[in-house]
Amino acid sequence: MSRSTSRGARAKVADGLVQALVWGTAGTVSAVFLCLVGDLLWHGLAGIDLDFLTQGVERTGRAGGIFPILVSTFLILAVCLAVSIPIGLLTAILLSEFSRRNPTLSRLVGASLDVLAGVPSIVFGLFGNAFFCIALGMGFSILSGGLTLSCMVLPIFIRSVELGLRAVPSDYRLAGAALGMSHTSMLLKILLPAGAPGIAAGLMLGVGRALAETAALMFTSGYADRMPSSLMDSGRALSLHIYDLTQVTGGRPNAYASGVVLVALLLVINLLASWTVEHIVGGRVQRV
Amino acid sequence: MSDCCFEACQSQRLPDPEDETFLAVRNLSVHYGAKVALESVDIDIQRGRVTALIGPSGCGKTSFLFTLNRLSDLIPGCGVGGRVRFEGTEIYSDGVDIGLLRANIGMVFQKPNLFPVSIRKNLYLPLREHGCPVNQLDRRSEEVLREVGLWSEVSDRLDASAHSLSGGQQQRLCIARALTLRPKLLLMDEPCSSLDPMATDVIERLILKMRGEYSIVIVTHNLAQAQRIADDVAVFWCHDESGCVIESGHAEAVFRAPKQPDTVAYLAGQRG
Repeated sequence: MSRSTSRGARAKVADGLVQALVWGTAGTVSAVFLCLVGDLLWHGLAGIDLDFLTQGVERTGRAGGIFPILVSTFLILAVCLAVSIPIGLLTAILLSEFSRRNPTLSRLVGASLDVLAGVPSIVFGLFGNAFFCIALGMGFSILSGGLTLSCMVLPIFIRSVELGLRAVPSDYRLAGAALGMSHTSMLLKILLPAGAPGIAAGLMLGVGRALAETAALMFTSGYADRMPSSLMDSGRALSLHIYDLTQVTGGRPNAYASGVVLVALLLVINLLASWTVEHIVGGRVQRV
Repeated sequence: MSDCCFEACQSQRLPDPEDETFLAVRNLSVHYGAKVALESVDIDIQRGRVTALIGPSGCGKTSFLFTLNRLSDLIPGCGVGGRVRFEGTEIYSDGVDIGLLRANIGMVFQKPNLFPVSIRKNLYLPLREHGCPVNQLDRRSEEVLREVGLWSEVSDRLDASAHSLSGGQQQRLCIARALTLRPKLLLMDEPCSSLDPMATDVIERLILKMRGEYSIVIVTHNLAQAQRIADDVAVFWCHDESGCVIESGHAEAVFRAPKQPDTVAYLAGQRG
């Protein structure tokens, strides 16, 4: 009896310890996040008003707004997504659906993607500069920047869409085949909609990485803080603008304000992207 | 042991199929890579009858079923030898329209595998795929739901998720979905193994009701079930880790007076 009581007491202490550890680490992570956002809002919120969002850059960013920067950022992101989404979706479909009969191809493509995903962004920047800017003659332009970003985003996007598609139960594939449905209509009507969470997750990771990117854009889309006249014009992305502002004296307040805008932008775009994917692509299926 | 297999499988040799045979299988073998799952199967499936495939697990019953609608094509490393002749067409010859073949030979699986869409769309999807005109979708859906006795249970919630139904209802919806294409032959792979006795009873009565209009090949581990519903029986058995058919014929005859010693032992519950 007494032995079982002491065992019960020990188990209680162990439970308590594990619980404290779990809560403690979770609390620390949340606290770091809150500190970061708090600091950003504390220093940055005051600098944001309508003028800041709608005016041009003055005195290399120390004064004026960030409107041209926002436009450049959107354009770079648009180029990046316009290239990444179709290529990414098709590659992910190849990897998850059509490579069952050719596992070697799947392993080869998969390994290349994993290596690419781990390559530092500055290396992508050098590659983008050598390939898009110089070899293809696009120069320092939004197009070069967007294309370089899409090279960076693709590995992550493809892997996460592939995981999403692989997570779709193979029961559906068998059921569809047994009903004489073609592979294509199974893909369009069941597999892609059922894999929508993976597509949304991939899109969010991709957008996050693209918006946060500084190093790769430094060598490809350039620094120009004026309003871009076309995709072939140089344009400065928001994250690069923040980096630049921290390098000039007196740029700190606007760096913080731009930081708030960047985080807000990230949130809005992510919500929008996941909502769109879930409702447009995933709207065909019902999850219980 | 292997001699016994040789003799047992030899006893199942059938003559070349006649043209009017509904489904004739001759010298069929299935292998997965180097592993032989099924060897020299000869069997005739009769039109309008319920044929039960019985025997211990791992004797190739499901593999056999998968060869009949060429679902075996989808399994990497799976090879099929021999002949399967369905209504006069060799289904393993070149130029066979597999979509059409699978529309003619429907299949119901062990676990209900409805698509993650509404009840209605589960029925629409195969119909649309096979070119059913839009204005006939509803009529055809109602028809098959009535056939499987689901209409009164789901007619007021056709747009609810198919996965919100109970297990037995889901399995009946799977049958309805297969029936949308008016198959001539319905393959059922242990359709009741994941269901409770009540739901099983509903499915069994449905199978008896469908007999005559549809031909059914059903795999079952439940001997009592086979006795209740089957017109014909084929007994699968393992010899040297590969399956073959050791006995087949009218259910009543096989259950009353089995010829093979293995069948006798299996039916008596002593082996397998």
